[in-house]
Amino acid sequence: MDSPAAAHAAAPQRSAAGSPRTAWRRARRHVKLIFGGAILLVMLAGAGAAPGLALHNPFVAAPAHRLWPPAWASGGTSAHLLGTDQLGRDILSRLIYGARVTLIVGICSVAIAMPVGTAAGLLAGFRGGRVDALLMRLVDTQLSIPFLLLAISIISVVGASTINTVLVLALGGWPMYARVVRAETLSLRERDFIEAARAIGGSRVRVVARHMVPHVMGTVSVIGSFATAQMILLESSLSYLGLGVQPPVPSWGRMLSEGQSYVMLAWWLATFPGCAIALTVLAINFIGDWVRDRLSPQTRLL
Amino acid sequence: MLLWLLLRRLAAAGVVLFGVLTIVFFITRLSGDPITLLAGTEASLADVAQLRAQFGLDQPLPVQYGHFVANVVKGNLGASLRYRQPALTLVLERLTATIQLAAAAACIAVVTGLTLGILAAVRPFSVWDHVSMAFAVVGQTVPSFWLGILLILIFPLRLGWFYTSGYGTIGHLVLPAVTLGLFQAARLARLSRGGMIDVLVQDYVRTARAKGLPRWKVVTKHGLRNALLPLLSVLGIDVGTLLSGAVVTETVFSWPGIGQLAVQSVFARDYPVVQAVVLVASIAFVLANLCADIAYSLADPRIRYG
Repeated sequence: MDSPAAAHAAAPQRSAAGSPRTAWRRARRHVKLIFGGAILLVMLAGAGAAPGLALHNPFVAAPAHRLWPPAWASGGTSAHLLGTDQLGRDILSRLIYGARVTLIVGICSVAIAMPVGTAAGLLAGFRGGRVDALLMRLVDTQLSIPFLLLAISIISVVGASTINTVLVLALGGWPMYARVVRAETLSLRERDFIEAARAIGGSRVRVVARHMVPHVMGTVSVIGSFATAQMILLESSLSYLGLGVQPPVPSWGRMLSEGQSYVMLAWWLATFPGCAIALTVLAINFIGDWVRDRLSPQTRLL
Repeated sequence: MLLWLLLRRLAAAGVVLFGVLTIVFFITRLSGDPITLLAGTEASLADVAQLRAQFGLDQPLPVQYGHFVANVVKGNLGASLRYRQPALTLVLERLTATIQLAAAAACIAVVTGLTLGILAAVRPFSVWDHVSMAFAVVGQTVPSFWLGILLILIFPLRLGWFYTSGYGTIGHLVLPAVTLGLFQAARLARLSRGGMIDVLVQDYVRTARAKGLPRWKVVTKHGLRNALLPLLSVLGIDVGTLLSGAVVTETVFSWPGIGQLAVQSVFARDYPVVQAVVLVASIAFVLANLCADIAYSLADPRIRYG
C-alpha cells in the first residue's frame, strides 16, 4: 500500500471525456453515492428538523398508550406510525431524536480522531527516529487492547455521558489514521517533489502542510468515511450496554436494549432502532465505497 | 534465521504487552484516589493515611508503577471488590466460556466467509458473486446485538429452536456463535474474494490451466493456497474483533464469559476485575497475533528470508 507504484495508481482514472454515454450509465457509476447520500440526507434533514418534525414529544411518557403496535399491525393507529414503547412514547419521534445523537457522536468522534491521527502519522513518518518509534509503539499497544474493552474500562472510571462517548470513540479511532498516514508519508518523503520543495528552502512545516497533507488526504478521507460508520456501530454498542449516551437522551442502542426485555410482547421496540442503525451504517459505507473508488483504490483491503 | 525472527517477534510482543500494562496502570490512576472509595466517608484522616501506606499509594508514581508491574508479573491483579476473590481467578474462570464462543464464531466465520468468497471469486459478477457480496454488505452493516435479538425473536420464541440465553450445551452455543461470527464472515468473504481474484489472474494460474489441470484443482492448489496466505494475518487481527464483539454478544445472550463479567463489573464499580479482563484479553490478542505472524512466516518463505 505504501509503494510508490500504488501512489501512482491513486490518480483517478478518467475515461475519455465526451464519449457518448447515456445518463443512466453515468449515474450507475455513482449509484452508491446517490443511494447512500439520499438516505443520509433524509436522516440529516430529519435530525436537523427534529423539533418541527417529531409528531410527539419523545421524552414524555404516556402510560395509557403503552406498547401500541405500528400503524399497519392490528391494533395500531396512524397517530403512532411505528408504535409506542414500554412507557407509551412514540417510537418514530424517538428514532428521529436518536438520529441527532447518533450522527453527532459519529461525526464528532471522527472530527477529533482524524486530525489527531493524521498529525501523529505525519509526525512519525516525517521525523522518523525516536518520535516515530514511540508513536508507533503507542499505536501497536492501543490496537492490541480489544477496543470495546478499552472503552468500557475507561468509561467505568470517567463515567458514561455523551461527551465521554465521543472522546472514547475518538481515542479508539486515531491509531488507524496514524498508521496508514505514516506509511504514506514514508514513501512520499522519498519522492522528488518533496526533495525539490526542501531544496528550494521550504521549511519543514511548509513541506508537510503544502506538499504532504494534500497527498494523504485521499486515504484519510476514505478511512474517515468508513470510520464514521464504525463509530456509529460502536456508539450504539456502548449505548446498548448502558455505557454510552445516557437517558433521557434517546439513543438507538439504548432503545434496542430496553426493547429486548419486551421482545416477546412487542417486537417493534427492538426492530425499528436496529433498522435505523443498519440503514445509517449502510448509507455511510456506500458513500465510503464511492469515495474509495474515486480517490484511493489501493485501500480496498482496509 | 527462523530463530532470529522468532526472537524478534517475541520481543515486539513483549514491548506491546508492556505498553498495555502501562495504559491499564494509567486508566487505574484516572479514577482518582481509590482509597477514598475503599475507606468510605466515615474514615478519619489517619485511617486514610494508613490505608494509603498499606496499598503503597503514598509512594511516588514511578515506584507505584514498579509495584504494579511486579504484581502483574506475579499474577496478582488485585482483588475483586464485589466477590472478595483475586480478580485474575474470576477472569480465568470465565475465560473458557469466551474461548468456546469465540472459537465457534471463528469456525462459522471461516467456513462461511471463505466459501462465499471463493465461490464469488471463481465466477465474478455471477449470481453467486452478487449473493455473496450482498451477504458481505449486510453482515458488515447489521449491529451484532440487533442480529442477536432478531435471532432470539425468530428461533427460540417463534420456532422453539435453541435457547434465548444460558450456557452448557451445543444448543446454547449456536445463536451466540452465529451472532458473533457474522461480521467476521462478511469481512472474510470480501477479503477472500479480493485475494482470490488477484491470484486467479496470475500467470502461473493460466499455466496451470493451460497444462490441462481440472479447474477445481487449479482453484484449490494454485489459487487458494496463495490467496489464503495474507488472510492468516487478518485472522490474527480478528481475534481482537471477536473479543470486542464478545462483550456485546455475551450481554445479549447472558453468556457467562469475560465480556459479560467486564460489563457487570463496570456497573458494580469493580475496577480491578475490569482491568483484569482488559489485561487477559489483550494478552490473548497479542499471543494470537504472535501465532498468526509466526504461521505466516512459516508458510511464506519470502517473508522468512526477505
